[in-house]
Amino acid sequence: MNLRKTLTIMKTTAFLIFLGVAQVFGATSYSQEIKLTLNVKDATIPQVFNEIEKQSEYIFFYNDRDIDKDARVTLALSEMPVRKALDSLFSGKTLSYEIINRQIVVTPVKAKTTSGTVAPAPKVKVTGTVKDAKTGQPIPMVSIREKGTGNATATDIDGKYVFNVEGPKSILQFTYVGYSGYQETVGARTVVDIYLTEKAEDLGEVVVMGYTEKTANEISSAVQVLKSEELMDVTAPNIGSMLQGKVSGVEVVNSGGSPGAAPEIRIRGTGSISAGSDPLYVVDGIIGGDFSPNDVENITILKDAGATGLYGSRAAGGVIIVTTKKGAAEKMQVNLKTSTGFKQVTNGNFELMNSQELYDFQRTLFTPSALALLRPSKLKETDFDWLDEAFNPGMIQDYYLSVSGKTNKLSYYFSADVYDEDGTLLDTDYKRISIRNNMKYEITDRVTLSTNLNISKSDNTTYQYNSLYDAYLYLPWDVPYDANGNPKYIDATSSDWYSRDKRNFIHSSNYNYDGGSSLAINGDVTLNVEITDWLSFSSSNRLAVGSGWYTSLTDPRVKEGIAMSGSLYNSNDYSTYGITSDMLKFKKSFGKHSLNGLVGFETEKNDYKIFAATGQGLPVGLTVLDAASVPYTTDGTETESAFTSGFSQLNYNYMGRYFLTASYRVDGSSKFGINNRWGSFPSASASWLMTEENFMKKYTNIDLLKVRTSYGVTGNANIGDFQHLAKYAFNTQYASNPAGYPQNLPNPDLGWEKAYTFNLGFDINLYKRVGVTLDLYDIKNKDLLLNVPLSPSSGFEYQTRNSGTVQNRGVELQLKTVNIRKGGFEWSTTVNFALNRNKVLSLADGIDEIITGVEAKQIIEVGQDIYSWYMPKWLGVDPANGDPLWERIIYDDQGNEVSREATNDYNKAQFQKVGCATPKFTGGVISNMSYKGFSLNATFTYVYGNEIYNRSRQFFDNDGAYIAYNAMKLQDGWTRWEKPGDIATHPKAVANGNKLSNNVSSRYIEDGSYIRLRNITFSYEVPASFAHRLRLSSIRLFVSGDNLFTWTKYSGMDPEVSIVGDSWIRPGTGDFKYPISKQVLFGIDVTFN
Amino acid sequence: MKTINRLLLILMVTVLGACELGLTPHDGMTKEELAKYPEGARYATNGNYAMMKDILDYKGVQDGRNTYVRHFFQLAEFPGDNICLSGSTTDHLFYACTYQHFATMMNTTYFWYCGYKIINGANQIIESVTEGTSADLDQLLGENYFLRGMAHFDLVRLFALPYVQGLENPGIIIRTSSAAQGGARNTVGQVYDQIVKDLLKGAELMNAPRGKSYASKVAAQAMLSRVYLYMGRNQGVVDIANEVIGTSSLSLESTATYPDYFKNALTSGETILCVEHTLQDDKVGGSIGSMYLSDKGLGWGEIYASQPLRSLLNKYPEDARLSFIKAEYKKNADGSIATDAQGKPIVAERNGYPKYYLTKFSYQNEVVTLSSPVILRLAEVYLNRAEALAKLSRDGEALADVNTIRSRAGLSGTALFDAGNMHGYTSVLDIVLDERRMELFTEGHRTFDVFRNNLTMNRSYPGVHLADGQTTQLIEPTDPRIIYYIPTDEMLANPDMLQNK
Repeated sequence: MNLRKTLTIMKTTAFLIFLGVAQVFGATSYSQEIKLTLNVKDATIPQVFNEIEKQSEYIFFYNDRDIDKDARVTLALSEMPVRKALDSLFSGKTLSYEIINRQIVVTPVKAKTTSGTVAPAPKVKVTGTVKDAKTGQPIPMVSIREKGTGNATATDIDGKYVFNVEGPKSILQFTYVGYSGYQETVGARTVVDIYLTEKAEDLGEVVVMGYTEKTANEISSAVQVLKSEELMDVTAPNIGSMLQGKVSGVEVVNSGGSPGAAPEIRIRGTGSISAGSDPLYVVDGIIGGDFSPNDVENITILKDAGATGLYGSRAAGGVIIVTTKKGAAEKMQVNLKTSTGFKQVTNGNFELMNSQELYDFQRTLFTPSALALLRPSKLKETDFDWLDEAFNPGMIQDYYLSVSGKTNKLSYYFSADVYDEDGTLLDTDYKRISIRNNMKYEITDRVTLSTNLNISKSDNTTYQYNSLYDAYLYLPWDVPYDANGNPKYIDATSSDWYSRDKRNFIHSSNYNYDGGSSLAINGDVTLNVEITDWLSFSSSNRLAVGSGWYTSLTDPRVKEGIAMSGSLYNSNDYSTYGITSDMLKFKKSFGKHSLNGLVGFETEKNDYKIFAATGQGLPVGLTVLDAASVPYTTDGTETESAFTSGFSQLNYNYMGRYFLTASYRVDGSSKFGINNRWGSFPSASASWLMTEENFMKKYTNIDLLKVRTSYGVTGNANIGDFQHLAKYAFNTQYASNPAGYPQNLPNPDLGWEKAYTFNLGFDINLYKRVGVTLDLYDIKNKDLLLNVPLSPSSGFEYQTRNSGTVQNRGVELQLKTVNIRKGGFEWSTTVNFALNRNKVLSLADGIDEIITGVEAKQIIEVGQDIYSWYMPKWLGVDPANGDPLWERIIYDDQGNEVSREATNDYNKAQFQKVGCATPKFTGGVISNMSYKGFSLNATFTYVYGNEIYNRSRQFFDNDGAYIAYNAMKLQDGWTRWEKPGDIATHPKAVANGNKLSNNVSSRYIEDGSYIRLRNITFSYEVPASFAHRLRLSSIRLFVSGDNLFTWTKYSGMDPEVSIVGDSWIRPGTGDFKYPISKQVLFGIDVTFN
Repeated sequence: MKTINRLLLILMVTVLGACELGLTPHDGMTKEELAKYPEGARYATNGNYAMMKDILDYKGVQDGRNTYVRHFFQLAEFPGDNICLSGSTTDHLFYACTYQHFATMMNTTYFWYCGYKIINGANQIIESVTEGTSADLDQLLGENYFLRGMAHFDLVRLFALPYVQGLENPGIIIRTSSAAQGGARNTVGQVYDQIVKDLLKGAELMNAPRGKSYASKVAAQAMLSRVYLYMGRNQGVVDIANEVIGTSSLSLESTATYPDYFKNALTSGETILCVEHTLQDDKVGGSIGSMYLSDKGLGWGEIYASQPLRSLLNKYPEDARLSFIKAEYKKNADGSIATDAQGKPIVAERNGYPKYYLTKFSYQNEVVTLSSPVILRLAEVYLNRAEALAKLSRDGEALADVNTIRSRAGLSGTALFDAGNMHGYTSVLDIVLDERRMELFTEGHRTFDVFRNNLTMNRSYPGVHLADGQTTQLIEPTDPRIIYYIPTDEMLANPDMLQNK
């Protein structure tokens, strides 16, 4: 294959580059100058090499198989030139050497002297079968290697192999994905049958914890690892969407369906009020980073302080550790994966009226004369479906190619990924190309250098601001096309247009454009040096550069652009991020005690710049600012932040049964005031692996029993820059002269928000079929970075202060069971359940409550959940006259409540707490079924007990307030008041509104519980024998469906509403949004060597 | 190995240089840094004007409709009888038009916040600039006194009952310190006294005028003439209006140039103070003019001249002020203007209401939605004096001022008033008030003019302010809804705050 040849060349080139780099340091006379003193007794040859490397700058290159492991040498040389020393070392050996600058290349003499091919004939032929230890089924494609040689083979479709090895001393190594590796010495046998065990119970597995790696055994905290294959069922351009329902305590919300949209993620509830609560991403051991989901090897979610403590400063929202793929197999491996499919918008239970329904509804609003004028009956003849026009099925495509492998000193992974997603709404799309190259070079046995490079470029066409709103709100009596089928131009002078806004977004979007592209480059360089057997140094460094280009074109031919002859906005941003983490790590064992730890230093700098300009007066068809005839606006700004940290960790374990970890981290940030810039973050965790105790050995059905606990402090600095300074903002002008106004009140005491986290966890595995992980936690976020509200009459909305405490307490349960395992059929399920209770423990001095939100408000008060709705309470409809009714609380002169009554005067109804946006519990259920090559996997996500404020009903369910908007059909069980005596859910409809009935009140609060079939994937692994016939090692075909079914009572478009929100629209508000889609994809996943 | 060790050493030395944590912002200055520059006070004063036209963040959001000037002109004008709302809207201006107030209205909430933000900005400078340092600094200081007085005046007019209804009624909070928080409402009397004090102080300090986009001595005097009028200090009005009218740099536009006055307000001799909007400040859909006019695809054009305003002006078809009302005609399919049986063009309608656009906030630099809203102009000062004179029973002088305005509008001969020709009016005050209505419509005066004179607002004319089938609407000056509720955000954050009835 050509591709293979190309890659071989690439490998060679890469190697030569390394040699070249090494040569730069070379000096020609070095070999004459250097003198060696060697005093070794009964040393192996590699030991001598090491000794020479220590004394000189030489590096040895050799192949293990060329060196006789049993050979021992004794040398006593002093001040000997290197060539002489080597001559005496190799005298009588079958080895020769060549010095190329500072490299000493050792080769067997045979190879040099004998012409033609070498390969000594193997002496022993071994055969056997490899089977699954549990099912007894043969396993095809198991890789078999003869240890210490390049000799390798694999099992066939029946799990059988034939292997020619050196002799009885040969050691066979068996490896297979998902199974624990196994090795066995051949001995006198010619038949070696092997049983491999599935890896799920392998507690020796390495878990990447960010700065460190640990075996699952050693972990004393709440972490969960997800492997690539557990993530990649959902098709999305970001990893967040793929986590939904899969990790207990991690709430993932896809609050918008625009192409490329990233989901919102909260780990163990929201502990911050004003500061951000997003988790921290760590990619390949370094904070921050970028990656394509296809490049992910695995993800580790760190939930408690025992695990996150090392990231102290910014770990209050939890940490998501991403490890990208590396070259592993010695044989080059190529993986090609493509998926293609379609998506279709889904609006849940929400349905708009058609022409007749809307007419029948509106006729009740008008007197006959007004009806004839405003709603002539000919309107009924037109029934245009705006949603159907604006939303169309879209296509999704994802192509992924990777090439990876490992040579003696170098492992490589290269990938390219192209993701292309159409939006369902007019003209929207998202495309991304990403390229990754991960290299690891073993400079010597003790020094490795790794470089990771990720480049991604994305292009995004976003929707015109009006399109989404108008598509929902326009009346079915208007048609966007003229008699010839061309989009009509509509403005205020247009007659026969009944929808509220006189514009035609179909016409505008034909010409306008909104969108942009962005480029992100992340380059990592990591150097690892094993200074001694127990001490090592590592330096991890990343430089990330990002740049975005955004364009917004208002064409001169559209309604919005005619007056200024078109308008063009361009912006360009440029961000840089540099970080270095440098650590000394040690590892020592003293009999039954083992100890390891690290001490490190980290510093980070961020810089962000943006420039933007608008020009007006554009020639039709041209879309660059140069073509604009009128310069209109220019904007630009820059902001910076910096962090500096020191950290340390100590891990101790006794006999592999008792584990202790302690971390301490100190952080400084430019975001804080001069008085409190530095914060310290200690944490500790302990665990007891009971199944390692002798007294547990008799309980053979208990595979694992472990108790873990941790306590620690982590921090949050997720606020804007310079909030501690009394800043005059100069992003304005008056009469074209410089102008600035006070933006915030100073707070030199502003410092870190800290989360104090306690965790108690249990891991229990039984009967090799049941795995239970239970965690109980209590997190108190103290010294919150709180925007303490000031009275607006002070001229400031708030001041950011360290004040208040929010508690999140919860239970997380994960239950993994193998339900059926019989005759090749296996059905396993994972149930995730998380219950979190949020409570405000204190606010600021003199502040008992904070009201957030502009329209639908929430109250933050001591003893309550931070997302408690606060608005007039709806009491339904007055049967006598169809008036809306709210609750009025009557107080006496002392301010004590006397009674409550119904009022039809909105202004007399007090604000009160009327529900809570936080779910009572959330989770997911994952079902995996497999039979031979077939598998059927399904992921359900569920949310229970959250109350959504359905803001869109203010528009669509307005009792006649907006006659020029379309209206939603009443849901089952809803009724409209029509005549005295009617017991109805909906007030009498009155043109232009019935006594503010559609104003914010608990009328629009709804149960947001739902269960969603997030993904279902059916896949087929083609038999290996067939794949081999096509010269491939594996072929997997699959069909995958996302969001196909949702069960909910919520009347809006989608119960999956934002849990982040902003200070205007609060979390839990169901608003107009770009709806999510149902999507079905077909894919193929091919691997070959 | 040694190379590696050396490299390691170099690496450790380079990386151990930690990043500097004491960073300073690029896009702003601290108050202390600002004070280091001689221009600092000017930048900060300019910022206080900018807040009148800028869309400031509120609750983390910049809403394109949120400007001080837009909300003020709408909250002041829309409850009046000059405008006809042609349909419902989700914009909270709707509730100003329909008197269906509530305390969480976005426009009142933002206006309250922004008003006090301007006051805070002014206080910061008043606290940091020493009086008497230089004429230029005194001018800036005076401008800040003016801005503080003006913002208090705007707030007290929208959120407190008219002065004539009682000095002891709850007013607004007087803010004269930038550090102050919370607090109870001062009385209406106290607030007006503070406004007068600030304006007098401003007038005294401002002697180095910076143009019509900035406050000046004459602006403070003109504003005082209005404040005195609201307070019923009629002789005060006359005295100070005399000074303004006598200012040589001011003159009324001619009849011929008057129709272009508003688009040229920045440079007109009639302008005393306007909020300058450059091309970059065009708020397009969020501009004041946007609700009044739609042209070239810009502007919502949903609020029209009311039927009584039009009939008042139509008494004299030559009245130049009719040029600020622009009818939109119905078009035939071929683009020509549709005509009725008599050959007269048919005015287009929206929801059955004829589209008579109002254009005082449009067409600066020929941009549809751009204007520099006029805060004070000479014509108003004439009418302030006219009203005060009428109340002082100096009818002849009052009518003379009215006639000055009418003549400028192109009226002459019998179209003018004299004691013997009252055109059927029985009181000179009524003449003055109607003249104010015709001259100053949409400029934010009408509602105050009616209620501060204890008159009834008669809105018995077609418009969405009336429910379907309803034909009359009379708003009495005793109606608690002639002012707005104190915004909920203030009520919740300030326990001493008293809500309006």
